[in-house]
Amino acid sequence: MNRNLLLLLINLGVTVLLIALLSVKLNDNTPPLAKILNSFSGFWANSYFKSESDIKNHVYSELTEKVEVLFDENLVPHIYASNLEDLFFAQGYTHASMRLWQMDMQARAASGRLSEVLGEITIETDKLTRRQGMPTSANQVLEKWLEDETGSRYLEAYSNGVNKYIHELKSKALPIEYKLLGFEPEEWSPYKSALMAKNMARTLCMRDFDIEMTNTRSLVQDSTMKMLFSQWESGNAPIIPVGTDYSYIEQPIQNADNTIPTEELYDEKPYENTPDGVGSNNWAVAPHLTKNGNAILCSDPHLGLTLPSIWYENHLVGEGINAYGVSLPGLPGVIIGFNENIAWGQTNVGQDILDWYSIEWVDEEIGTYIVDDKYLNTEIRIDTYYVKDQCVIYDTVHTTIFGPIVYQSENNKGKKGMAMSWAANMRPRGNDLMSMIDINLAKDYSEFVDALLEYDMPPQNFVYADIEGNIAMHVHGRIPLRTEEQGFYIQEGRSEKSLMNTFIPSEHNPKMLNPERGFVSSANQVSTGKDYPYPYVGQFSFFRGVYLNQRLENMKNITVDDMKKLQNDTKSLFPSYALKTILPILENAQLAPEERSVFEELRSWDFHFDKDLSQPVIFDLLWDKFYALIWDEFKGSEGKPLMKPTIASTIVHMSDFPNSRFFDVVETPEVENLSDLVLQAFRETVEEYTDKKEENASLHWNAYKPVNIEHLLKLPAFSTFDVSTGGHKEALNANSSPWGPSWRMVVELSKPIKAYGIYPGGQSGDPSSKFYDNRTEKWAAGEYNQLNFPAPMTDLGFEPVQIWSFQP
Amino acid sequence: MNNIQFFIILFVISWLGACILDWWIIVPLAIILGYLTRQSDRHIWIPAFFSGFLLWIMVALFHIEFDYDNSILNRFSELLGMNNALLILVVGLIGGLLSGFSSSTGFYLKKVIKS
Repeated sequence: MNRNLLLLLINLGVTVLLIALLSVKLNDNTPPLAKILNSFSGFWANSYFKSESDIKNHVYSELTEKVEVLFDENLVPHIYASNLEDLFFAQGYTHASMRLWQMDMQARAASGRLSEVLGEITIETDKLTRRQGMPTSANQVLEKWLEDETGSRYLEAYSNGVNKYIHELKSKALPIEYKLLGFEPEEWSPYKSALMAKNMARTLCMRDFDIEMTNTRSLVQDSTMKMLFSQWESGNAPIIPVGTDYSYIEQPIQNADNTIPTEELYDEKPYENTPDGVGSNNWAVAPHLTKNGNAILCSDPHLGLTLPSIWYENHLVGEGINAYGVSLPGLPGVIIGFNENIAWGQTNVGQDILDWYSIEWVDEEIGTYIVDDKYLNTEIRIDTYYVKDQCVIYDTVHTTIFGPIVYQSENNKGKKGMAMSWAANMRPRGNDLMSMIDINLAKDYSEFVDALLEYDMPPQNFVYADIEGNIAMHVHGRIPLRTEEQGFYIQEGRSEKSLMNTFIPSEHNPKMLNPERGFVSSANQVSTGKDYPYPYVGQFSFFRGVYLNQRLENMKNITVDDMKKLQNDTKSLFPSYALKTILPILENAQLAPEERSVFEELRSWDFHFDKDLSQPVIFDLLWDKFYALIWDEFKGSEGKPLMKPTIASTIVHMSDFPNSRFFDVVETPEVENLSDLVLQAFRETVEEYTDKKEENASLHWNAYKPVNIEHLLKLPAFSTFDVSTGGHKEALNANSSPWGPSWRMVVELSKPIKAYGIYPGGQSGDPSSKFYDNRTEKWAAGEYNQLNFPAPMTDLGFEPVQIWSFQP
Repeated sequence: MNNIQFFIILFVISWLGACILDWWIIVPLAIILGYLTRQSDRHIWIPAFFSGFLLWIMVALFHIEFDYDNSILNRFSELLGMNNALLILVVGLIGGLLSGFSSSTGFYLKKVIKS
């Protein structure tokens, strides 16, 4: 063979091989190496093209007037526009420029389209999302939004802003995650904004314990059920206190419903509930309690702590609007924030708005069922999934009058269809989008209330304060009107009378304005006392609310700093209440010297879940062991989950029922009592604690329960680990990784308003940006940014780090 | 065209080409340049390798604005289990090898055709 030909073939072969190696995916989870590593368009380019180093001077035909976007030192955009359409166009553009991939993925997650870009690993997640009816009900939400002509224009403008950015985006500047996953951004649309609202509703109110409660009820008597799972634990502090004047509810509406709880046992749901930990605090104090004589409002929603951060901070200035606060990328407006006259914040309402119905099929073939002696057929829908690197997959979904069949449960009585009735899936009663925008625009309490009446889903506790010194709390949203215990248990889907279709009228929702005690507060506890004229059911927290009220009741001359400290308070009443029973038992017990020293350590604790303390570790170990021992009766078996009483109920049980049969450990022949359990749990704790200390001599709370803020793709290189901070889900500083305070805001309603805020992560969603996680350290230390709230553009009070100027 | 000239020309056209289009353009460009070069029997693999090697490193450094503690560089080093210097070297090697073998391919293609 010719030598040159041989050399040609060798060189050509190596070249082809190199290109192949660089272009082919080595496995499903890695992108082609060349795409990501090459210096021209790989990750290097993301560093160069990062959005905050751009100077933009653009002409956009969509605008009617000039818009200026001035970024302050925290990379918060202050958007100055002449009218609201231009303003929301620029907000959409800004959101997209910093959070495009996050928005895109969240819209995909809410519409069950993740597997189009992530492949088969997300097929089940997608199927669940669509079976739950998320994409269908997002359509209904959108329809409602589009009924309002003004709102439609705002929504369209926002969407145009996002798309303007997408069209401008060079492929070299694509957010790094697109390069890693190998797909490209999809056009935004008003429908996707509706999906974002659904996403938040799912996070906040798609939680239920119907199966657990149903199975537990078959084990114990009704009276025990009432004792262990009562919603009104003694000593609670309802958001709207007992004794509030409900005379505004002249004629409560009647509920003709009739629940038929099932008697059967049910298997575990094929998916998990949102974990315990979603919660929030908000409160406001009246001028007479504060040092400067101004009302102060505080709000800190506890949500998933992720990178990119869930919130995006912005300041929107336009005709009739001057609102500052956090927004959800994908939605126009400010969700939690303030304007020149008022401030507002939200916490989640614990009402149960999700019910399961067990549907008995007439024959083997799924699809026919009997309601009130009538044969009904399900509506059938076929969902199509275009799975990446796979063939198209189809999924048949049956929908009953009670809701979609999310899954089939095999139980002792055969195959049952599990129909999910979720209030957030029903045709909306109000227009949430316009409600939020009108709150942004509201100048006083009456305008705020008018705006709020339109608000529908998810139900929230709205705190309010204004520069006139008014403070208020509204438990608001569409809340189902219940008959006794309706919604606690899985119901038989065989009568129209058990449909969840009666709701408390929005003007009858619980509320209070300027109470005598001088403060309003909420921390996901029970909404009202029993004197509220409507029954409701739900899952509520206890300790944060009680503690918050105790603190606020004893405060005078309140300053902004006091409020910041309170938001970061790691003390919890949970250990303080629990140890009241536990410590005396240990005190009187025969303890080995080693046990005695751990006991002394625990006794010296001030109930703060501080990052550098060791006592929270001891307590956590002790409580978990004790809790498992006391409720061993509710361990459940063969995938049939049972409900365990809450912490608050457990503590009440310990102090009020010292001879309860639940203290006996079923597995052992002896009959244990409370002291035996405490002692056993404590001895095991000492053993484990000593072992752990041998591994790590300076074992403290933060090392034991690390706080991590992970990237949405769980890529360690894009995540922040071992954040140095304390907290507990039962403390006001509700850190319970991966959940925690996702935006701490304190607003003093002075003239002009002074405001402070911080969230973990950063404004930019780009891992190459210094604004990607620049706030985390400050957030962990309990520090705040002073928020720049300039009224006119001529008197900014800060040096813009970047200016975008958009001309019509 | 001597080695130095070849090195410079390949460097410049690869740079321009990849900035306008993308990284893959350097392959056809190197093949064409290898084909067009008049060197009678000397190897052009070495100048081509160094041209690609230096170009890829230079553009990479330019993109991170010569900030060796750049956060995206740190994150990718961590992701791939390397340190920053090694990652920069690897990227240079990819560029160098692609340029080297592509140029040689063009060079021997001409020899085969001409003979």
